Amino acid sequence: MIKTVSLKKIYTTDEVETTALNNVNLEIREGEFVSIMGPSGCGKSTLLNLLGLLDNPSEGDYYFMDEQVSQYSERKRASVRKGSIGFVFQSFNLIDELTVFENVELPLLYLGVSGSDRKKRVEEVLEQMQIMARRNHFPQQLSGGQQQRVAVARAVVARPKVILADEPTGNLDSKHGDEVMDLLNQLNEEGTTIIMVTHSPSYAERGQRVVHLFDGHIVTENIKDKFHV
Amino acid sequence: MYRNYLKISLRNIVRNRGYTFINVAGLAVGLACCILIMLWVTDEISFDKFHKNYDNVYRVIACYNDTEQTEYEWKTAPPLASALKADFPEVTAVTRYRPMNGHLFKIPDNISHELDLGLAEPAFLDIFTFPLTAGDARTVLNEPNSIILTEKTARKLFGVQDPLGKSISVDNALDLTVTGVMADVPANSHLQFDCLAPFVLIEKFMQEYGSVLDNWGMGGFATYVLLDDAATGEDMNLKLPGYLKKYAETETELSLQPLKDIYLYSSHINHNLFGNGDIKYVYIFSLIALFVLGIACFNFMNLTTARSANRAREVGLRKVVGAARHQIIVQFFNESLLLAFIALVFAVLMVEIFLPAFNNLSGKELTITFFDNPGMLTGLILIVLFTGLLSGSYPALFMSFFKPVKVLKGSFKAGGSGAMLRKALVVTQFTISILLIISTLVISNQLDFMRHKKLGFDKEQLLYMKMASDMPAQYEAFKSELLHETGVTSVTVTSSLPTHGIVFSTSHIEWPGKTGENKWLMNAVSVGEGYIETFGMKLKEGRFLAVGTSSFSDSIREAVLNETAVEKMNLDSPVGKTIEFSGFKVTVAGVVKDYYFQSLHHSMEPLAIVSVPEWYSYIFVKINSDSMPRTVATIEQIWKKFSPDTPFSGRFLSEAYESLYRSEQRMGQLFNYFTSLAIFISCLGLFGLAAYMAEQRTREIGIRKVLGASLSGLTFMISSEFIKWVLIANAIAWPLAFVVMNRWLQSFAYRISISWTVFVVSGALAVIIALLTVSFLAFKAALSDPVKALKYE
Ligand SMILES: Nc1ncnc2c1ncn2[C@@H]1O[C@H](COP(=O)(O)OP(=O)(O)OP(=O)(O)O)[C@@H](O)[C@H]1O
Ligand SMILES: [Mg+2]
Repeated sequence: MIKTVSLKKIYTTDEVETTALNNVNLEIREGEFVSIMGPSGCGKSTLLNLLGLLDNPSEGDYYFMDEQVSQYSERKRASVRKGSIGFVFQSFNLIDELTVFENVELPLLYLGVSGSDRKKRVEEVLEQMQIMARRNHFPQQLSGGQQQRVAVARAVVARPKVILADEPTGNLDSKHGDEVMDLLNQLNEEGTTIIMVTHSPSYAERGQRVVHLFDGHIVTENIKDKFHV
Repeated sequence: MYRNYLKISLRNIVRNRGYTFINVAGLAVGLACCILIMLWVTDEISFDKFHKNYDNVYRVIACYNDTEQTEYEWKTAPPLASALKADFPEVTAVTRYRPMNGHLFKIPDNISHELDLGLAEPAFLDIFTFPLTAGDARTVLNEPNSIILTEKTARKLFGVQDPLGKSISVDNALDLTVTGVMADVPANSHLQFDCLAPFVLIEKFMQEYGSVLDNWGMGGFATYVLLDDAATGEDMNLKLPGYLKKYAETETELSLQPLKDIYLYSSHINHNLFGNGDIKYVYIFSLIALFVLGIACFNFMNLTTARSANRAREVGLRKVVGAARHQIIVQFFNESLLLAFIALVFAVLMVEIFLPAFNNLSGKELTITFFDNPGMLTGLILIVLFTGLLSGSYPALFMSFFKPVKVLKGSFKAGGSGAMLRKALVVTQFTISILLIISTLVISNQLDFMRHKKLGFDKEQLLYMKMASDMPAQYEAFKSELLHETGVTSVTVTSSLPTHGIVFSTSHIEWPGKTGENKWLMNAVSVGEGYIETFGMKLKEGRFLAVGTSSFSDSIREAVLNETAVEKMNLDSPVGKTIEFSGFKVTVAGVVKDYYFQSLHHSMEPLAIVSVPEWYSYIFVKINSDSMPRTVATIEQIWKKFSPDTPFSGRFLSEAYESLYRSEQRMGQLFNYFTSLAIFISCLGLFGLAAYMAEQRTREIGIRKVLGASLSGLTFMISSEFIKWVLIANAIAWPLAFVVMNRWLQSFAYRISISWTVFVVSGALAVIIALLTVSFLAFKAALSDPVKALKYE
C-alpha cells in the first residue's frame, strides 16, 4: 500500500542545505503496524510528512495505493489525503476554539458528510475512545491524555486506510501513554495501517516491525511476528 | 460547513474581546464617518436634479475681460433674454430672474414678515419644475400684480386660510394678489425664494432708474434659457463670441453654464447671491472619507494579520484533516465580512445618534432612510463588502498558503513578510493622520487670519439695520433722536454692507489722461453723513463728501476715491479733478485709504464713494457704552416709534463677519472633527498592535528582565520601534501637506504663508499621541512578572 523508491528530501535555508532523508526505500503493506525510531534530527518527522503527503520529496518515487504521488500539487495531495490518511501529533493537536465533538467532526465536514451521518460517526468514535462524556468540553479543559485520545478519535473518524502518528506519547506520562498505545493497537487489529514515530523502545515493540533511521538512512528493519508481541 | 466557520469566528471574536473591540470600533467609527460624508456629498451633488429639464437648462454668464484676469458675473442685461430667444432657434424658452431678498410682506391686521422674493417671467415655471398646488401654471404670473407663495410662506402669512385671491402689501408700497401656491422649494435647489412675482415688477422696485426692461446698460438679472433636445450648450457657446456687439458697444462676452454646474461650479462667479456649494469641498470630503475608511481598514488588516500567527496552527490542522485552500480562504473572508457587518450595525447606530449634530455643523437637513433609498443601501453594502474583503484578503490569501508541515512544527513566526506589510500600513496611517493634522492647523490659521485682518476700519460695536420702506423720509429725525442717546456716538447710512457685495459697479469711466480702453470695473458705494466717523477709515488727502439730500441726478456731483482707484487711473493730485462715471461728471473731493468694502475673498478693488440717497439701504450706529444690551434695547424702542410695522433687524457687523466666513468655518470645523476621528482610529490601531507586540514579546521581556534590564530601558525599547514609524510617516507627510495646503490657500485673495512651526507641531503631536498610546502598554509589559512570562511560553 505504501512504497518508496530512493526517497530524498533536501531542505535549503539561507545557503545551508540539509539532507534530511537520503535513499529511503520502504514498503508497507496494508494492515501493518510499523514503528520508526532513531536519534533526534535523523529525519523521522520528515519521512512521516512525506508519507502523509504533507510535503513532496526532493527526489525519488512514492507510491501510495499504487499511485505515483511524489510530484503531486498541494491541491491533489490534499484530495488524496482527506479520507485516506489520519494524523496524530505529539502536540499542537486540537483547535482550541472548537469543542471535542467539533474537533472530531472536522474531517467529516471537509469530506462533505451529511449532518446526521456526522453525528452518528463522531459519537461512535467518541464512545470507542471513551471520551463521550467530554464531548462538549474545549481542549484546555482536558488532560493531555484525554486530548491525545480526542486527536486519535479525529484521526480515525473518517475511517482512513493509514494512521500516521508522530510521537503520539511524547508529552504523556506512562499511564496515559499506555492508553493511547492500546487504542492504536486496537485500531490496527481492526485493520488500519499504522505508522508511528517514537523514542520509546517498549512502545516501538508494539508494532510488527521497527524501522531504524540514522542521518536520513534506514539502518535496520526489524521484522517480527505480529503474534509475539 | 458555514456553521462551523461562523462558530469559530464567533468564538474567536469572543475570546479576543479586546482585539475584536478595537477592530470593530475602529471600523465602525470609520464607516460612520464615511456614511455621514456620503450623505453630505450625495446631497451636494443632488442639487437641481429635481428639474425635469435638468439637462437642457442653462444660465447665461457674462465674462469681462479685465486686463489682469477675466471676471465672471451671472448678472446680465434685461433685454438679453428676448434677444437670445429671437436670434437662436434652439432656444425654446427664456426667463429673467431677479432675487429680491429681505423685503417686508404684510397682510392687513398682521405683523409684517421679511421674505425673499423672486421676480420671474411666466416661462420660469415651464423651464423649472416648481409644481403649483393651487392656481394655473400658465396664467399665474401673467397679471402684473400677482404673486405665488410657497406653501410654507402661505402658512406663515395666512395660517389655515385659503390665500388665493388675497392681497399682500410689499414694503408698504406695492399691493399684490395671490394667484397661486406652490410646493416648497426643495433644500437642494440653487434658486431659493419664499414667493414669486412677475418680472415686470422690477420697474416698480427700480423706479429711479427709469425704463429698466429694455436697457442694455443695466445689469443685475439672471437669464436662464431652455434649449431644445437636439442642441447643447457647448454648440451654442461656439456661436456666442462677439454676440453682444450686435446690441451694445461692449467687450463683454457671454457663455452658457449648464444647470447641473450652477451649484457646485460657480465659485469663480462674482457676487454670487445664491448660496453655493463648491466642488472643491466635495472632493476634499470624499477624500477624507476614503482616508478615514482606509485607516480603519488598515487597522483591521494590521490586527488580523498580527493575530494570524495565533491562527496558523488552526489553519495547519484544518489542512491536515482535509481542508482545501479555497475553504481556508472562504473561512477568513467569512470572518472579516462578519466583523465588517457587525461594525456596519454599530456605524448605523452612531450615524443615527450623531446626525443631528452633524446637520448642525454642516448646515444641512440630512436624513438617513436606508430602506427608502436603495442607492444608499447598496452603496453601504458595497462599502462593507469592500472593507471586509480588503481587510480579509491579506490574512485569507496569506494564511491559506501556509504549509501545514511548517506550521505544525511551530516554525511559523509572526515576523517575515507580514511584519513588513504591517509596518507599511502603520506608516501609511500615520502619514494620513499627520497630513490631516497639518491641514487642520493651516485651515484654522487661515480662518484666524481672515477674522483678524485689518479691514481699514473699525468693525467693532457697529450695529446695523436694514432701512424700512417708511424710513428714508424719517431718517434725519430718527438719526437725531438716536444721537441724543448717551451710548450712541455716531450714525450713518450706506447702500451696502462691507460683508456683502457692492450694489453698483461700472466699466464706464472717463478721467483726464485716460489712454485706451479701461477694462476694469469701478465699484460705487453711496453713503450718508457721518460715514467716516462711524466706520473710522482714514482720509489720505482732500476732504470727505459734502453730503446733500437732493435727488438722484443732482447728488452725483462729488466722489471720494480709494487709493486703488487713483492708482488704476494713474492720477497725480486727484483732488479737484473731474471724472466721468457712468455718464455723470463728478469732482474728486478726496482720497480715502484703502479699506475692505467687500469680503476678503476679493482682492482690493477700485471704489468711488458717492452720495445717492435713493441707494441708501442700511443704517449704521456706532455704540460706545458700558451696557451694550441696554443701548441696543433703546435703539430698538426708538425704531419702533418710527417704524412700528417693521420688525427691528439690528445686528452687529462683527457677527455678520463671523457668518461671512461661515462656509470656511464650517468646513474647518468638520475638518477638525474628521481629523480627530482619523487620529483616534489610528491610535486605536496602534494600541492594538502595540498590545499584540507586547504580548508576543512577553517571553523576550521576561528573559531580559531576568538578565537585569531596567524598567525604563524596556519601556524605551518597546516604544522606540513605534516612534520610528511615526517619524518616517512625518517625513512622508510634510512635503505632501505643503503642496496640498498651498493649493487650498490659492483660493484666498489674502492668505497666510505656511509656517514651519505647523509641521513641527503636527509631527510632535503625532509622536506624543503615539508615545502615550504605546508606552502605557510597554510599561505594563515591562512591569509583568518574568517568572510567569517564562512559564507560560
Ligand atoms: N523546514 C525545514 N527546513 C530546514 N531544515 C529542516 C526542516 N525541517 C527539518 N529540517 C532538518 O531536517 C533534519 C531532520 O529533521 P526531522 O524533523 O525530520 O528530525 P526528527 O528525526 O523528527 O527529530 P526529532 O526526533 O527531534 O523530532 C534535521 O536536521 C532538521 O534540522
Ligand atoms: Mg520529529
